[in-house]
Amino acid sequence: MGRMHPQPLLIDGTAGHLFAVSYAVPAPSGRALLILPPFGEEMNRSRRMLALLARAVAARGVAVLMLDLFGTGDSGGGWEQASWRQWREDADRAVAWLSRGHHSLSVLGLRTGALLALETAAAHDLDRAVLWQPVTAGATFLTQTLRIRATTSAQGETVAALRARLRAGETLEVGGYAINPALADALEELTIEAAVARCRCPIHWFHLGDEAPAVATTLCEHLEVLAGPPFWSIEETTLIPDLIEATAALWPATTPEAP
Amino acid sequence: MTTTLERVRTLLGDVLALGERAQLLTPETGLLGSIPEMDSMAVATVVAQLEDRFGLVLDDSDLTEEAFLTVGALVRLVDAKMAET
Repeated sequence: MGRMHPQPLLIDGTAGHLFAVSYAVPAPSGRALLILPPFGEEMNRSRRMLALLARAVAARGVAVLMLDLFGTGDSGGGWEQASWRQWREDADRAVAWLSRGHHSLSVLGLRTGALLALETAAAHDLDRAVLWQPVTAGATFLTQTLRIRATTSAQGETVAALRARLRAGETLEVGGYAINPALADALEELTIEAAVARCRCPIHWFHLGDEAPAVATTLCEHLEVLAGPPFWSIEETTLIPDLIEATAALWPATTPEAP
Repeated sequence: MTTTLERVRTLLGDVLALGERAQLLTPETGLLGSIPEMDSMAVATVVAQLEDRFGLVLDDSDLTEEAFLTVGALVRLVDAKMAET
């Protein structure tokens, strides 16, 4: 059996085309996984880990689709058009695409992608939601993102001042990316508690570090803590094989059926 | 029980990709202005990691230049904020 190569493709999103990479399997098992990326530079820095994960899961007979959200990556649209609502619709389109030929769908998200994954799982009643280091409070994430600009700015900008400008309707550039007011508003309201509450399927939470946040233990039955650095925030490509292995293990490998 | 110093050392090692040099960090080790890896982008990442790993909320007023001059100063910031919560 030859090795299957990942295939780039375009999916029709509600606002324009969505770029995705499909990891097909030689012997379909009816199972599929949608991977939702993190935001901004984190997406860039986690590409390799997510690609390796996709391969590992596909090797178990699970078709994988890795999506670039609208206004990010190679999908259509610019930063002005990126919004949480748009991303929810993008994920919906990706689920629809995957459900052709697959009856058992799961979703995995990294960081902000994890919050999106929970909402997607809830909306479609998916089999399983897998979270890699979920952002637990969108407001904190927004602060941390604005801080990137505040600390690298020569103009003495503070996080508070930048936040006020967003609220006043200004789109802000941060480290080569941009946050528009609609996206900022959505981030301010997002919490892991609310996202988990809406999700009825099993949730698997993977945390990298020595101690998971207290909220993880309270909210999630399937919590796994692994040692390793925050690869999505490190410039040098950082790989954590244990995380890939532990995640892929969620799907029992299928053996190809005899012809 | 891991001390704040040990956890901050691990954090800096992770964020700044110091490798084995992380083990050599002492409270006196200079950060901002001393090691090249600690540029302004790294400061933002270090602060985010401090918040995430220690469960803290750091605002603009906490982030003085002094707090980032040495490893020890950073440890003191973390301990002070943890005592507040």
